[in-house]
Amino acid sequence: MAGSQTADGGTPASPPPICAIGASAGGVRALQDFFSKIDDDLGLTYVVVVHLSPEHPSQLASIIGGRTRMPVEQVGDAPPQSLRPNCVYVIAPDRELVVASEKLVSRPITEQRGKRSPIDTFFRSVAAARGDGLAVVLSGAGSDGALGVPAMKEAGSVILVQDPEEAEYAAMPRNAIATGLVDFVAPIPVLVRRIAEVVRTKKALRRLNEEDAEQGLPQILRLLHTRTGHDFSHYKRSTVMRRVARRMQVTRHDSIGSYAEFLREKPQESQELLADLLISVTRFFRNHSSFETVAKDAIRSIFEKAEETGGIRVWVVGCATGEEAYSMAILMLEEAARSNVQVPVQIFASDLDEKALKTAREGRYPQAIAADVSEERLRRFFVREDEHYRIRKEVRELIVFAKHDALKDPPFLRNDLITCRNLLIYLDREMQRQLCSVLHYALRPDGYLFLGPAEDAESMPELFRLIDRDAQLYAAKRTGEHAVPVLPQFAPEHNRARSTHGRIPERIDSAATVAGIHLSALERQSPPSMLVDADYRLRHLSPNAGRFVRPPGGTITDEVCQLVRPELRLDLKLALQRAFEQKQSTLTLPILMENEAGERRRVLVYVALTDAGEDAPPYALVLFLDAGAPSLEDAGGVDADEKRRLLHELAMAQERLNASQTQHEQAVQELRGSNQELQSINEEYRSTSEELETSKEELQSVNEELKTVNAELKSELDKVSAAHSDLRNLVAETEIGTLFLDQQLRIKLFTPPIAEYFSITQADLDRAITDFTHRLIYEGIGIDAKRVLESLVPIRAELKTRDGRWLMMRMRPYRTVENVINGVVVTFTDVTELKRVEESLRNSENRLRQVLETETVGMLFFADDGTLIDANKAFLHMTGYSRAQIDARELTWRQMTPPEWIAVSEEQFAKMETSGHLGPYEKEYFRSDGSRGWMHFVGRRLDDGTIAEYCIDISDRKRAERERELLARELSHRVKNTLAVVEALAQQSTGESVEEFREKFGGRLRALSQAHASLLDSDWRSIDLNQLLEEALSAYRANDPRRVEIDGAPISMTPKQALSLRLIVHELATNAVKYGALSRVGGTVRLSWQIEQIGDRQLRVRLHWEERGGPKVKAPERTGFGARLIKTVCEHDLEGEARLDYTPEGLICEIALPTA
Amino acid sequence: MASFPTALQGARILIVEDDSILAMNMEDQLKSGGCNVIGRVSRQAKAFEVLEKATPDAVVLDLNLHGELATDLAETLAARRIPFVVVTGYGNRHFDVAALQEAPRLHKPVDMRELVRELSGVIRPAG
Repeated sequence: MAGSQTADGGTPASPPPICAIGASAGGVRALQDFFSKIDDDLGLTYVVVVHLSPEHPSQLASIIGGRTRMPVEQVGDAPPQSLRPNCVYVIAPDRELVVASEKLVSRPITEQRGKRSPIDTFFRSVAAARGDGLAVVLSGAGSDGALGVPAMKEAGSVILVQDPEEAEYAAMPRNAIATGLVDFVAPIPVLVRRIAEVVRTKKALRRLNEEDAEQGLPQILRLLHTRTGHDFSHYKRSTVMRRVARRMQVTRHDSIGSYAEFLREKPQESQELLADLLISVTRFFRNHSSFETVAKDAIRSIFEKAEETGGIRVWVVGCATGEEAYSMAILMLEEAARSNVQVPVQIFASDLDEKALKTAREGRYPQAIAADVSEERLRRFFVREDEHYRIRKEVRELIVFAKHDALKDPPFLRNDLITCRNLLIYLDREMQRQLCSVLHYALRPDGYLFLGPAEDAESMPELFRLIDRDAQLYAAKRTGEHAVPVLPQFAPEHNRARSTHGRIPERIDSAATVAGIHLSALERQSPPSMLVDADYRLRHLSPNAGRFVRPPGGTITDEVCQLVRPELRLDLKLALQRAFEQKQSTLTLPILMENEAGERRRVLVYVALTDAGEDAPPYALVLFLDAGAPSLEDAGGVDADEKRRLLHELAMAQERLNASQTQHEQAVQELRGSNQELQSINEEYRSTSEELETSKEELQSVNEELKTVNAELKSELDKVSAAHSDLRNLVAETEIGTLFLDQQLRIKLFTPPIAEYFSITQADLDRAITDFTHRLIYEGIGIDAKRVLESLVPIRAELKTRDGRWLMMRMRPYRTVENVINGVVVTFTDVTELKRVEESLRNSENRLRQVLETETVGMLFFADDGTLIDANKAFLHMTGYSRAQIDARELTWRQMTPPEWIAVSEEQFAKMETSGHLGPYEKEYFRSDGSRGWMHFVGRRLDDGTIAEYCIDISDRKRAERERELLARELSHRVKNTLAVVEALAQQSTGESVEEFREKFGGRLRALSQAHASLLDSDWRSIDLNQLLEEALSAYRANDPRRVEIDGAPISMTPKQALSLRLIVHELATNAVKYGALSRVGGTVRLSWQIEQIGDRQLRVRLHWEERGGPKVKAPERTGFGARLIKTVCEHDLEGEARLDYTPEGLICEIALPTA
Repeated sequence: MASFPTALQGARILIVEDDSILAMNMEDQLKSGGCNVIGRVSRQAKAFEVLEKATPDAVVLDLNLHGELATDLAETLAARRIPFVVVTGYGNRHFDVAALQEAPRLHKPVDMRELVRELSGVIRPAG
């Protein structure tokens, strides 16, 4: 803060300078970089302020600690601690840091989360507590730091900012740079070097010799005055010195002399120094309570009187970047709203610094002002723009910003309120007094003066009355004479005259020398005299000059022409004029004058210019010479009456002259005052004109913008009209009936086909669609449209027209480009043809489907990779796979093919690649239950790459084939067996002659073949015993069946049994014909059998062959082949028994065989 | 028919054949050649009965006995190192039984001379 004083020279025990570092997003990397590069012995105290999440502990201290050898400490709840050099202090979560009385204090954050700006807070506290130091702004989003930087700068700190190009987040650096106060913008490695240099210069500056400064500073200020026209010689030396020292650090000069040399050589530097000297920091509602006092005690009463004065005028002196002016404007607007008084309010805001004024005029402030401005005011008087707040127009329009030097330029007049805060403190005492009197002059009587907290106007009690000490609010006293104050810069001659004026009596009083005696003697003896300055002011009177002086009534004045006796005035004035203007002495003619005693005396006035030296201002010495009583000549030798008349006329003329003289004097005085005022007014006009010029430029640029916007709009318009004509063509040409309805279902637009369905014409626009007849078999258009409007769900329906056509109606909400529902769009598409095609397609598909769904032919579709993608029911039925498995794409032909068949299938598929046809071929496949079946496949590749296959289950055919094969083999076996039997029979059949052999062998073969024939008839299954025996014996029974009697219950014999029995019966019968009962007429054979049960399921057949009436039988000597055959066959083949009994009456054969 | 080699003279032979006429004929012929036919059976069960009491020098084995394959018998014979000659009406059908694969095989109708040659081949010299 400007009010604080810091020792420029420094003391040996002075605390280490603070290097305040602010960072946010992307800051961790920047800080690592920074601390890994910075020397650890610069003697600075580093304080790192970042934005931390209040909920999470921070690792920043340890991260930084890993990069530097300096001790790093997170400042949490610890009590305030002294700052040590070469130490790094890091902010803790949910805390803010400030420097107070040389200690680092960590305190809980009070602002709510969105408004926090810990970097600004810390920077400001460093500025207030410590003055010089370094501020470093690194990567970060947002604008924190942008308000702290000016404060640091004003206090004499060097500001360094990371190059936004390098920073990960450029916003914070950019916002800091936007203050225009940054000394260095560079990447971190360069910043680190600059810091080291600044520190070196700083150390050198501490050793600066006081005398050096004493000599050097005026030199610098003179240079500055010459170059920039601004005189800072009346500014406080300490302030000026601090700013100069700052520039020296930045430019790396460690002695005043070398800096002065630098300043001389570099014209640009004088601008930089001027800018530094002009820096002032201000905030919205700075010293908030003071503003409340002003609002309550000053502004309220100003508004009360405002209607009389016809308007309110406020002058904000030293407005800098405008915050104070806007604060004032806000208070005015609030009061106007409160009191409901409508008067024009004009605020002049003046400053020397053009750059600051530019910012002020723009009225755009960083987001962080939220800390100073209440939310309500932000809402009411500001507009949010990205990361900034912009003053609303109504506030901006109250203020005229003007470049103006309150110490030099004529003041703005007739103000109700002047705020002049933190300007007086920069000035020396004399200048303060002068400025105060100017401000008094610029105020209306009882107008208010609002000063900064460290300033006062109490040295001028004759001008100002204190109203509130805390707010430093004063009221202007009414003074009798509203004299124009004289400022040094107004009239330098006056000033100098005044300063020399006090010395004259001094010189005279000290005259005790011979020269003094001479002088006093001279004085006593010399005629009465007076000393008059160039303004005709009486400066000195000789002791005996009193009788020539007669002060007029009224105010005391030192105007010599007023003071002398009236008779002398005219002549004196003429003489003085001659003296000052023509530098000639004058001795007047004798003037008649009446002295105190009523004596008439003749007086001569002698006026001569004194010669006081080259530089001294000119004075006129006035001598009054007494020429004694008027002589007769004076009375005139002529007629006494005539003389008296003439004298009288003369006296009259003189009086008139005197009167006009006085009037002239007054007029001049008034003119001077008016001139002064006119100058002020002129100043106002100049400021206003400047404003207007700025506004004009703004308007021009707005005009430019508008032109651009206009051009854009024009091209937009072209586009829109093109779109419009596209739309018209679309509407005219489209065959889709489209109907646009608004929310009340009124027709907004329709395409020609709509007229075919609804009885509407273009004339019916804006009428409700429900009012019209139509040709649809559909009455729900109103209801459906409302439903669509309510639910926003589109509707689709197929409708029929009365003439039998089919329409597809689609109804959907009409959404504007802004996504607002603004009605309903209904489209009608004629789908009659579509329907027809659809139906024929459906029929055709049905036919195909029926074909596909034949019972026995499986239909398969494989994707290119062999996955089964579809199959008909017949296939599923054949194989047991499910539709779900197909849909899940679980099946492939490889899975369904047994391993030994894979190669076959692959070969078929390979062939298909060239021929396009698959198969026909047969293979086994797996059913879903794992069993195998045979399939016959034939297929082809379709156009879309899938493979279609027909298959027929040929398992049954395959089984039949196998059976046939078995049968053939069995047959072959049987034939071979039979041939073996025949061979054996041939070998066993013996005979004495060929005929006998042929007969025996032939008989046996016939018997065998007859048995085969019978068995073939019965399909080789079984044959009834009865039938078997009748066939075997039929030849013997042909003439007389009674010769061979057959008797037994029916029982079936296996083929094997039948064959064996047939052979046995053949042997028995041939034996009977040859030797037995059938060899003679009358002989009979009886063949009978019984069936017996043996065991559970086993039966036994007992056959009984008995011959009678044949020749007498006797047992043969040796067993013949026949008997042996019977026995062997019976035992071996039938697993039964045979017994031959040769009774004399005839042969009896008993055969027992088991049967099923 | 010429008389059999000496190896078959008195050799005890078991005939396993389900057709009686063939069996009978074979028995007659072997007997007449000098063999000692110790049995003539048509079923495996009967063959096992015979084998319980006697150990033939060789067995003539019809594979198909009333529709059943005489594989058990063949394995038993192999296990007891009783040589045998297989007689079958089927073609050169493949059998899984090792014993059957190694035995000599004759096809019906059997040439007696071949049977004699095979039998002489399988019968170990007496002693």
